[in-house]
Amino acid sequence: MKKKSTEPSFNVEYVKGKKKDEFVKEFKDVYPNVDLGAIHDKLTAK
Amino acid sequence: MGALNTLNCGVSGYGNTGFGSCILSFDRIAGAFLVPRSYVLTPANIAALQSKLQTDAQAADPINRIYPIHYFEGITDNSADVTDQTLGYQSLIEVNPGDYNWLFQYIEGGLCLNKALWKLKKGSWSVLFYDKAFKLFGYKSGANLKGVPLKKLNVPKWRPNDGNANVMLTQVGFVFEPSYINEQIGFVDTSDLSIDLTSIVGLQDVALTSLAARAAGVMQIGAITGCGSVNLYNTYGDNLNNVSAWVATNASGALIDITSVGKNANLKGWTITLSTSDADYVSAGPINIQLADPSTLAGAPITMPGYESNKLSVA
Repeated sequence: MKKKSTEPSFNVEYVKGKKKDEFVKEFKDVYPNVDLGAIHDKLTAK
Repeated sequence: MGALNTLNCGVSGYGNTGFGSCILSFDRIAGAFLVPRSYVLTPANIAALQSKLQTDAQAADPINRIYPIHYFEGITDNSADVTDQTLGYQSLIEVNPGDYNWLFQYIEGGLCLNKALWKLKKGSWSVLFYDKAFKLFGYKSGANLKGVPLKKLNVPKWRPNDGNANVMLTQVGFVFEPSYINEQIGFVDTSDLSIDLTSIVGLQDVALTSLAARAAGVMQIGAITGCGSVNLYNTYGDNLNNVSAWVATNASGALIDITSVGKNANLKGWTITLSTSDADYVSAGPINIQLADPSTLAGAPITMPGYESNKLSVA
């Protein structure tokens, strides 16, 4: 799935090393309006 | 192969003076490429000339880069006259053919280009010229085309518009020995190769700025053109919204993992987060941030050709 232009870009290997709740907790303050859970699902599914 | 008491006159001292119906002549010189002294265009390079020159104009290492200068608007030929000696019986013999000294006026690029050329003039360069008919020329070395070694890259100080007859004057000049483009001339007629040499552009400087204080591993970075200060966010906001578009290092130059990059519409910049668990991350002390090298920026998925940034130190 292609990244939306307004969606942040993540270091995929870094994300794959994080559990979803860890990932969401780490980035929720930086990207409060982004569905981080969905992004984690997408990137870890690759 | 050398031989005792044998001169090489028959090999290099003669030139046949016959010619056919297709002769070499040059139109007005339209531009040039400053190239490193060791720069060589092999037959394979010449067969793929456009991509070769464009790639080299965006080389990651500025030492290996070539620097296009386009749209010459006029030439002042200050070449030295030949120096002859008059012998006792009034015969003339050539002592020195005199160097070429060509000075070109340009308008496109203005002071931005002038400023870059002032930096480049301190270096040691060769040059490939091209004319209005897109004949690229330098000198022939075996099967290869090489740039003419410059004795001087002449970049005069700019002169102001006089309000009467002359616009602001910006010029670049080239001083070199004549043998390179006389007996050794090498050229490529690109007119039938679908090549537009003017489309091979040099890099633009990008000045990164810190838009807000660093909060742990989170930085807010802006990017403007180095000459003109145009904010790149509106044009390249999405392109630089890529982890691979950025490089972070500590004071020792060790890479720090970038974990994410996001657009910040309010600041018209990018939020960059670093891995605070990276062993090279420093919580106190500066972190350097810069854009990836020009060839990485030019390629997918960033596709932002023609830019090179400074290295910004963020406290």
